[in-house]
Amino acid sequence: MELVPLLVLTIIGYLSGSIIERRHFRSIRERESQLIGILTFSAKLPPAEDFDKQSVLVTGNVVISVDYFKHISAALRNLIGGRVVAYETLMDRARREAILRMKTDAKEKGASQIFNVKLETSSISKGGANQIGSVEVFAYGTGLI
Amino acid sequence: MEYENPQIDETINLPAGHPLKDFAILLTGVAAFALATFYMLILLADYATRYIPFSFEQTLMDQLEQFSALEQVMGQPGDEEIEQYLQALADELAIAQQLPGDMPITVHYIETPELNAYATLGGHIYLFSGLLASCDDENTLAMILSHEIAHVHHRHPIVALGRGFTIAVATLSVVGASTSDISYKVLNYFGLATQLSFSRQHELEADHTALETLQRHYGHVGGADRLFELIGNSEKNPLNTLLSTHPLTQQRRQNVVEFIDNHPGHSTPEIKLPKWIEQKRPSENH
Repeated sequence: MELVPLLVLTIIGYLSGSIIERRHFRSIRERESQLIGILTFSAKLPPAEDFDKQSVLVTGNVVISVDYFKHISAALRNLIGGRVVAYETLMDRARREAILRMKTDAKEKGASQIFNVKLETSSISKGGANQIGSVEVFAYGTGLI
Repeated sequence: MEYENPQIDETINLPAGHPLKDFAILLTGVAAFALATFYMLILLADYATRYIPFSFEQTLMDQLEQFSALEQVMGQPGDEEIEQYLQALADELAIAQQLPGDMPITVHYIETPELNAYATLGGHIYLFSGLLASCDDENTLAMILSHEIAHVHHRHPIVALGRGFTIAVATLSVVGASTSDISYKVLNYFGLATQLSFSRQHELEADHTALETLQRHYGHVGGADRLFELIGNSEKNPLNTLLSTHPLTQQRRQNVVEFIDNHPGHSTPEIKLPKWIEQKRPSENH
């Protein structure tokens, strides 16, 4: 009987989670092709010829919550080891969304290249160990106008 | 110099398989492993608990009694005279069952309408006034008491505790609770250990021994099946506990009826309960 709420939560988590994830990936692919013109580099400094350009800080931040299905899936995976597939898609979405938001920020500020791109990730799961957490990805860099 | 950021191939980061497939494989794998492990642990616990001396059970229960923890779980004790009567009957039945002398039975009569009785560690047997109120004759009552004595005789409580404890520790070590959590939960299981649930095998074994006891004590086993009538007739009553701690009522009843058929002579009149008990015990309809 104790398993019933767990089962319901897992089913709800799977259904809603997979619909949201599919939509999100569609939107990410669409916007990635739209923003492909804004170039990102991990290099700290732009090429010497661009040194005279104006620079601006561009940022993008996203927080995505884990659904119950992913949570259970990952918990099972924790017992065995191996690729935590449930979290891989989550992290992929978060990373790409953060970069997209950073690119959008750059576009609004008139920048077409971003140097020194960095990604910060953190998990938001304060409290109990079994609590469902969220993942935050923060992307930032130096936009060149 | 020209730069470009190409679209990255998604299959590098994203796995191709369906998440449900992955989940199903994980779940069945973990469940199968857990079941196999639990089963082996239970076998091991069953084996090990046989070596726990009965005196340890008694010491454990004495200690629990000191903290009056038992009273909180079991409820208020009922009429003392009735308890003495039940104790005397249980002692006679224990002799008929050839219960070893170092395994004394202590009967506790508890004032609660629940239709239940159970045996726990250290030879303690709890009988609820609700069940006594439903008994018309001594033979039915003797069947109940013999059944519980048989649980003690076969060491079922300590085996059930060993199983429960093993499963609790195994589960907690997998689920991973913090240290304080573990001790709390294990203690909690210990607290509940007084309300042990016996396995199907245990119940059937106890029934069989109880019937043999009745045969030896009364010379017949009449009235033994009335226990099941009692269970069957009063489904409106708060019977849940009796049914949940004593499942497989159907099979048990069938076994008892078979035993009665194979042991004739139950035309011998059944013994009525003493008049004073009928006056003292709570009425049936409360």
